[in-house]
Amino acid sequence: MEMKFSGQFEVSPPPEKAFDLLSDPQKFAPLLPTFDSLEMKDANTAVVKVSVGIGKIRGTATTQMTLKEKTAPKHATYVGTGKVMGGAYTMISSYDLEPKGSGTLVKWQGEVQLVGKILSLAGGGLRGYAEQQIQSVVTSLQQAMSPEYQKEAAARKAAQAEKKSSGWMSGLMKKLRKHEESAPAAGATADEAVDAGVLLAGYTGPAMTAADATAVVSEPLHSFARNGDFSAAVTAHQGDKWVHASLSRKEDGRLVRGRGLFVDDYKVAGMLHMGLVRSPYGHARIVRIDTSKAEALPGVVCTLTGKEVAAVANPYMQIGPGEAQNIKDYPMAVDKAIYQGEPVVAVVAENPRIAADAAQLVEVEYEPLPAVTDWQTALEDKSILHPGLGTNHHWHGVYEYGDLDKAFAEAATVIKIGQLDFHRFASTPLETNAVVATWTPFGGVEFFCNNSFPAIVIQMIAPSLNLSIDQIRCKTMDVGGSFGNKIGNYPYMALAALASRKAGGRPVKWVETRTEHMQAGGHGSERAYLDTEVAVDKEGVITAIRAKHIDDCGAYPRYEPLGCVIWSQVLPACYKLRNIRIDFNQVVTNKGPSSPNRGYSRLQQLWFMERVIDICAHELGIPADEMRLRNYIRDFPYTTPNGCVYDSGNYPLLLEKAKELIGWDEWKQKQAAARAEGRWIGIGIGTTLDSGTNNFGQARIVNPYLPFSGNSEVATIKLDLDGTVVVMLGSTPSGQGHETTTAQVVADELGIRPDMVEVRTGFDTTFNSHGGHSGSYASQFAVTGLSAAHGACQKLKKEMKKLAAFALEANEDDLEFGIGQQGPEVRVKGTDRSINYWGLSAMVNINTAGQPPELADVTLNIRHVYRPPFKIPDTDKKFGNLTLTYASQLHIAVVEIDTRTYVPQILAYAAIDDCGSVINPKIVAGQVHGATAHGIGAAMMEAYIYDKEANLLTSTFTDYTPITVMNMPDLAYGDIETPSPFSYNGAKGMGEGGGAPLHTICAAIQDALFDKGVVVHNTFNPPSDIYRLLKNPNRSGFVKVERRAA
Amino acid sequence: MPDAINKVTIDVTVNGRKFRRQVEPRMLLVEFIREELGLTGTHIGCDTSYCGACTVQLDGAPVKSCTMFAVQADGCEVLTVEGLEKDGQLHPLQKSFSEHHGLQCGFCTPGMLMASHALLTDNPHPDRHAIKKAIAGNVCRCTGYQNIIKAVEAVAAGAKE
Amino acid sequence: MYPAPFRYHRPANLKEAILMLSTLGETAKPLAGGQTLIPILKLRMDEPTDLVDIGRLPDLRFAKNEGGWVEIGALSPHGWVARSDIAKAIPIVKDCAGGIADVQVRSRGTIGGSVSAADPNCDWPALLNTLDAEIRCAGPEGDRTIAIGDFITEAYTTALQPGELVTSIRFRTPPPGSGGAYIAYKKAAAAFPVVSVGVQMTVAAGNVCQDVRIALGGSGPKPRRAVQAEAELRGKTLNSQAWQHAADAVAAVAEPTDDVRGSSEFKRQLLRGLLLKAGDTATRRCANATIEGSHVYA
Repeated sequence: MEMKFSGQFEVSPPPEKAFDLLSDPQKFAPLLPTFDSLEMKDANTAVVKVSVGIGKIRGTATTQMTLKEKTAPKHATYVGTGKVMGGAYTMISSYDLEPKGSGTLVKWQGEVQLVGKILSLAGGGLRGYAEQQIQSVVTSLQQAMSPEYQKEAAARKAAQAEKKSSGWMSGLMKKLRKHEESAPAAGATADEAVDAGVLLAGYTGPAMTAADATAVVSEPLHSFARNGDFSAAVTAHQGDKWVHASLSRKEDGRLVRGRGLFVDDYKVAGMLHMGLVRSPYGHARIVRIDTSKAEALPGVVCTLTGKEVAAVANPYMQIGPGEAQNIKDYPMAVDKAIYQGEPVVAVVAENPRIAADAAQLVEVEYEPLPAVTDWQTALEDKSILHPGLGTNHHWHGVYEYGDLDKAFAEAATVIKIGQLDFHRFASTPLETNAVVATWTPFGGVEFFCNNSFPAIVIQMIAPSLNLSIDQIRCKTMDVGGSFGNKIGNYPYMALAALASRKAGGRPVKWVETRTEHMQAGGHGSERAYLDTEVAVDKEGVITAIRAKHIDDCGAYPRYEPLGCVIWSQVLPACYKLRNIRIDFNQVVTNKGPSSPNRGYSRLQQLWFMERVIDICAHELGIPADEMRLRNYIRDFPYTTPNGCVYDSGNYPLLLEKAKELIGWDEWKQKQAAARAEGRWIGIGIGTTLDSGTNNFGQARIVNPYLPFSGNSEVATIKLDLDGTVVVMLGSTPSGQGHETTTAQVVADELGIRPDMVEVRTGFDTTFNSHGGHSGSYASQFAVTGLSAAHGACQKLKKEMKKLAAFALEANEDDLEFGIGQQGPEVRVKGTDRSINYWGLSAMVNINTAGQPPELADVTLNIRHVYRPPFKIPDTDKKFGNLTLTYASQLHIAVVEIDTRTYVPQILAYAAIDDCGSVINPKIVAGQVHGATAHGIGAAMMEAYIYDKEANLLTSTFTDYTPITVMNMPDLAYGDIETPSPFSYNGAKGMGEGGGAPLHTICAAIQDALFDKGVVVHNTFNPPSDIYRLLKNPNRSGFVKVERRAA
Repeated sequence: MPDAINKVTIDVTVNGRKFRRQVEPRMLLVEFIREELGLTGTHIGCDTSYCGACTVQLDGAPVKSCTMFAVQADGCEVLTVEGLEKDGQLHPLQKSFSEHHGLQCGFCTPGMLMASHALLTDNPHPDRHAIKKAIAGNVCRCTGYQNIIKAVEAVAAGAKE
Repeated sequence: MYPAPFRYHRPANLKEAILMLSTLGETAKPLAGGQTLIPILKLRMDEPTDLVDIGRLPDLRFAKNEGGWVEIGALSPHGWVARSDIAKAIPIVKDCAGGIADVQVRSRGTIGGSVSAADPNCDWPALLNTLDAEIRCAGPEGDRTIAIGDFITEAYTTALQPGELVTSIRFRTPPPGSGGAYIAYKKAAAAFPVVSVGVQMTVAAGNVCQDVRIALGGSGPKPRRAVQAEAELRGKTLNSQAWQHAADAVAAVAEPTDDVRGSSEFKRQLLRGLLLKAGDTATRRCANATIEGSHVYA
């Protein structure tokens, strides 16, 4: 934030005298408001302490103030730099003196540059405060320069002293201040007899007795039946088929009791805590680091700097091609920090409070560098973030399909659209990033973490730490939401590992604070859409689109540039056009690194396409529903221009159902009536896709040298020693109910009840239930995870049959699975001959003698890897099937904008989902609700806003305002099912949701205000922006319609 | 930073059990509950008293335990999510949250339960607006609040019968 | 997020609290409900050496309506005030007290703490300006009563001297025929209000505005009286034209800052809109209508 001020005043002394005061820091500094103390460093430099109170921030600021220019008696310039809590500042103040009559005219100028999270917290109050402070300096200067004032001031001071001494407690206070602890003087009142030492020593409460100190520390854990609540839910279910049952979840039992195990709940003996010192600058060279004061603080075990990290670790693998491979990404800044909040020093201490105290004692000197905060500045390459890359233009590629020239030549109408913008936001899971890392005596590392894509992360961390993958144990348990964001927390895992190593192998816990999360915990990418041109035929069918897209991925690419291809999974969105050309670009800027975020990269493309549809519809006078019906893809499977295969769907039916659900006709009438009254009501439609199960081969489209392709997920299933069915997965669920849906699938396969299936929570490399793609991301579990579980079941059943056939002396074909008197069993059809699971397990594990050799290879411990049938895409043509399934959603919203306050309110909202065959309707509806809330939040409330110095202005929840219940409309929900032909169960991955509310709300606002000349061009539409659009209607000039002669 | 810090002995009743502990004055109530007593159901989701994941009840009133010092709870009764289950029976709200799928990741759930429990104690028959107001200071990132409202409504409806 | 260490004091009575705070000097801070102070301490935006816990001081939680004055004790929590008989009788008090942040914050945060924090965007300062309240304080120099307009001197700054504490807040009992409304615009319950408007008025027969006070929050470094807007209404028949004039005057007098919540220009328009909303509710309440107040969240 930069603030400039100027003014002038007159004083009675001549310039020489005035200059004398101005040019002497020792005389000048005490004039600063709330001046505390001063220490001269040299003749021209003073270290000044002042008390500050800006907004909610109060404390002492230390400024180093140097007289930089001095031309007697005409000019003086001071440059000050300093730190305030949560920020740093530079200020320049200069004074020009000229004679005026017998006195002096002083012209002054002030410039303040402020960085740090202080800006987010103090918000708009800062400017006013700065003005106030500067005014106060000017007043003191003016007064100090006039002799009359000095006399007056002396008199006032004397009067004040007089007044103060008359207070009822003053005598006692004076004494206390002097620490006079002697007996009260003769004549002292009872008040004055108070013992100062006792009064001011602080309250301690009753003495702790030995018994208190040894009392039981913890509330006894009420144990609860493992599946008690789930069993009740299962029992309540009518019927014996479990897939598609709307079961309450197995996970809930522990979670409603507060007995989940999230990373911060996890404790190990000897555990230390890591705190991080982070850069207040968006772009700055690190000049000097002094950790000595921090290390001297009792309870601090060690510190770790970027240079130390770089000495022992390798930079992370880069995904980008060519020069992008030269980007040096360490878990901590080494030579310079390139975003606000980048870790600069780690502090490891006995408890988190000491770690926080010590972090404050670390001294870092920065040299600020010019900040790059938007794609325009980034592309100028005047300030380069990564010297190895040599440019901020991180990726470029052209996606072109069909015959653009022909399509535009033949178009009935060509519509040119101005710049559209997709803003920066993220899903900000309620549990922040966290890890406990332990460097083991054998030179490996153990992680208890909440990363949501651990399989890829261990492949990133191992080479960085010079370890082989088997030396890394990685485990997750309950994860408090991820939405893709937690894929990006691996730098902290590595940092905690290195901290543990330096701390002699003691476990190190790190839990991100919310402010840290907002600054550095993973942002969704911004995208700008330029030069958009749309060819439309005379029926209102879009035949071609061309545009240039620029993605801003923040400071470090990390998972990028995968976003530069992932959007193309949904290249034409739900529409049948065949001619598309997108010139795709990605830049790096001095903002928080991006990470995948619910709907990752696809929702940006889908929003773009929906905006195009609505803008064209409005311009052509075609109703928004009709426009969609004319353009929807209708035949499935459908191969898109870039070779993706949309498995199934029925978009017109979605529209029909959604209209029914919301009461379309009625709302249309109400809208017309309201408009007649001058009210602003709009109805918007958003159709969207949720592509799931990635073909990692698409990575080769951004970098042909990458060795990835296809996808895989793993499930293991075993009969434990007592016959319990135990399933382990490679996924990292964070609320999606994998334990429940897996139990439903396995129960159906084995003919048992879901509460008879034990599904282990979380990912654990020791489970041996993971492959290189394991994790929870990209809407895929219903396909990948459940296919793996299903495949494992088939193999297990085969083994069980083999054993049972021997034990029951029956034919395998005559066997069936079910529940008998003694629990789950395999029996001979139509007989009472059976063997239960305990019996089967015993044959392998306990009671193994006397079996024929053909049973020797039976283990009852199955590992199945599901691999979808993908091919490697054609990287030259950027062509191939990039995703296995395409779930779809259609939302309709009715939005009213208050004509007096410009506040938009959602009057009605409906969402229809199609994710193929549904495994658990309750869970699916819950996912749709959640994705809808994220979308509405992003469209109306949530934005990462940076100023041009790269300060994040929304770095706390209070500023970022994640959507609350007060902001949510009641959602009407419905579904249709078009089973996928590509998954064994007809299911499609779902959960991310495709950002439909963004499309829908933008469409509704535009519908409400189009008559006023408003075209919605940004995903983020808070009341202030709606007001701006209404005051400066953009339609003329923003959209150009060229009608061609027929 | 002051040169010497007084530690303070406090007596706090948590879920019906009395605890006497000596704490640093700066220890937050949420840390006291989580770290001193080992009751980790009460969560921390933000720094600025926005998210409500740390909601507990103090003498029956819902409070954000991250915005209170443990010393301020001296002499008070605290109810946490772990105290809702009685004699092996889940509280109707806990059951209802599960039945109506009012939780996904479960991180906000303890705070949501404690806030809605306080509401129902005070007003057994809240309307939808009152329910929304009662959980307005609790963020859920998973459910879009729809099923949480339904879960509380269902318990309120049950209470009417 | 952990506050820096501090010494903790628990005075037995008001006098002891004042003595402690005066003696310890400016690096000591009073701790009442802590709903403003504790987040600041957690972010280490302030590091007092000593906290004097005044939250347990006796006799400072009360609300009474006696002798033509309404008086509310400084340690009365917002939620408690919202449920008091005072709030029932004077709806604007309920709008404010019952709409501050969320129910959890309202359990702990106190009126005295809030007014002492003097946040330009917060609710009590704006409301107390609307009601022309007086702040009663006790300090080392004795007791005094300060008009709200003089009490808040600048953003986050009050006339309180070191060691001085707010003990209660009082304002004149509104005469019959009075009604008011206080409406804030905020993104969410737990977010700070962006701007707010309080209107308290007395309407005589024939829909004539006998008296009115209008105050604005978030419209400058301290709550701002909209004197001209009041003049547009006082003594006049209340109709939409009068309200439009008042709204124009509100927009003219407000000086909200540009920030991430919007431009100054937008906020002035918003204040205009909020005045019309608040005016509507206040008018109806003057006629004894029961209307539950609600802020605008978006």
